Amino acid sequence: MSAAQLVSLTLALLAGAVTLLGLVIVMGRALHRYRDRRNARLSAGVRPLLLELIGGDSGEEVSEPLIRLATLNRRVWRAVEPGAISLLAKVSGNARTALVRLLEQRGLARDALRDLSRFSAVRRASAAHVLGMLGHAEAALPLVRLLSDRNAEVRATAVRALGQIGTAGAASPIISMAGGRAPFQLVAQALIRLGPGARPALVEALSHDDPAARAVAVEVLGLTGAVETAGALVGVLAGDPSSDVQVRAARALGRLGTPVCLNALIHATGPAHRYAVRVEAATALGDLGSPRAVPALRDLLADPRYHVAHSAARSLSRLGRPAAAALTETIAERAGTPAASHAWEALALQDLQAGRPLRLPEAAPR
Amino acid sequence: MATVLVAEDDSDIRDLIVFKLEQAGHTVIAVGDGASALRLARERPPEIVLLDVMMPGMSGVEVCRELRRHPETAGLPIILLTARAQESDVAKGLTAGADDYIVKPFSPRVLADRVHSVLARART
Repeated sequence: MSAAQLVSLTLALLAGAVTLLGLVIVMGRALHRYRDRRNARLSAGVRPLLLELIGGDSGEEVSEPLIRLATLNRRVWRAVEPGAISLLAKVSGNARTALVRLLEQRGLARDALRDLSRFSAVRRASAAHVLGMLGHAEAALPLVRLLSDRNAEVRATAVRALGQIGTAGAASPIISMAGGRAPFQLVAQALIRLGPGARPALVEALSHDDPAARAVAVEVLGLTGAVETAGALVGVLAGDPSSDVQVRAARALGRLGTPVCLNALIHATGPAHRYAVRVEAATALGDLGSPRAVPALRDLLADPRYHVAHSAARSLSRLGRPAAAALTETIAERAGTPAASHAWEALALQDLQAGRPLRLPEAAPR
Repeated sequence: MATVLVAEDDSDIRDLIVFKLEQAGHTVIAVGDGASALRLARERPPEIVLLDVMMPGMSGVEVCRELRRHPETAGLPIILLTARAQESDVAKGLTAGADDYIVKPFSPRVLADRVHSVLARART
């Protein structure tokens, strides 16, 4: 065969391959469209039954659509199932209970449990997602195992699912995911969903080796108002080696707002503490809302570190009349100093946010 | 029983609300966006309005504010549906003039009960 013939043959083969590929793509799309239309038609026929199931008030009203949906043939059910799963996230109460009952009867949980060990990461993640949506308690242990999955998306889905299922025993494995094994926010949200049952594990995690685990535990205890853990959080604020964890502890104590929190936060604004911790403690005193913090915050207005003084002024502007009086007095007594500037700015911001004219129109000179 | 105007862009939720309220004996007009809801409410004022907060174009809070601005729709009872249980969203809705709010995911039964009680309040 000559070189010219070889080139012609190659080109012909290439053209054939391209045409074949084009045909496969076109046919694939057509098939996909046909399936979508067929599924839409099939599920539209069954939709009233599904609405009857989730809209029913009594067991009697629900039982008939439940039986009919549970015995639908596989082909029709396959078209209905995605819609039924998506509805799970949109309803609560009896409607959700009825829907979960239907999906369990259709074997969704059983299939999802099996799919947790599939080779495909998409299948494993989908299965974890479904088990979480169903709140399937028996899936807690397999999902904990999935936390060590090689795929990050699968691990994240398992964390979320464990939070949805709400098994408090999963708290420790979830906490250990905070150090980069799953997104921090996701871990925190899952732990919040576990409720008060997770608190012993969260308190234990305050002395975890990994600062990320300590950080997430502190964050969740503060967000869930775990006032009984205030003493432990005071210990974290005072002595944790990580400034990030200490900052979070200050924020958490501001949210908890017990007397022990107040004293610890006032102490943490002192010059012996790290800059970031002092700033957060000054802010947290505003969150806490006690007028007992006013003298300490007033002193901080003259702090040489800008953000400490600024945060103290903002906190004072949130603490009611005695604090507003402290700001006004500072403007008068320390005119021309940075303390007066911080005080004036805080009052001006408060006025602007309230939509009223500035009570002190003259800016304090810097 | 009453005529209820529902504005909700999620067809699953919209269908469920329509089903539940019709089951409770109400006449329901359902639309998928805020602008249509506003237009319909002005053309044929219903007895109560259910508005989703997060809709494309006009949000439920904006529709609520507009309804309150016009004398012919100012007195309509309005319930907001919000996917976010955030205090600020609820506060925004109530400031805009909503009478009540329902947080998603919701129980269809509770929704029907809320519609009933807001209507009863408005009628007394």
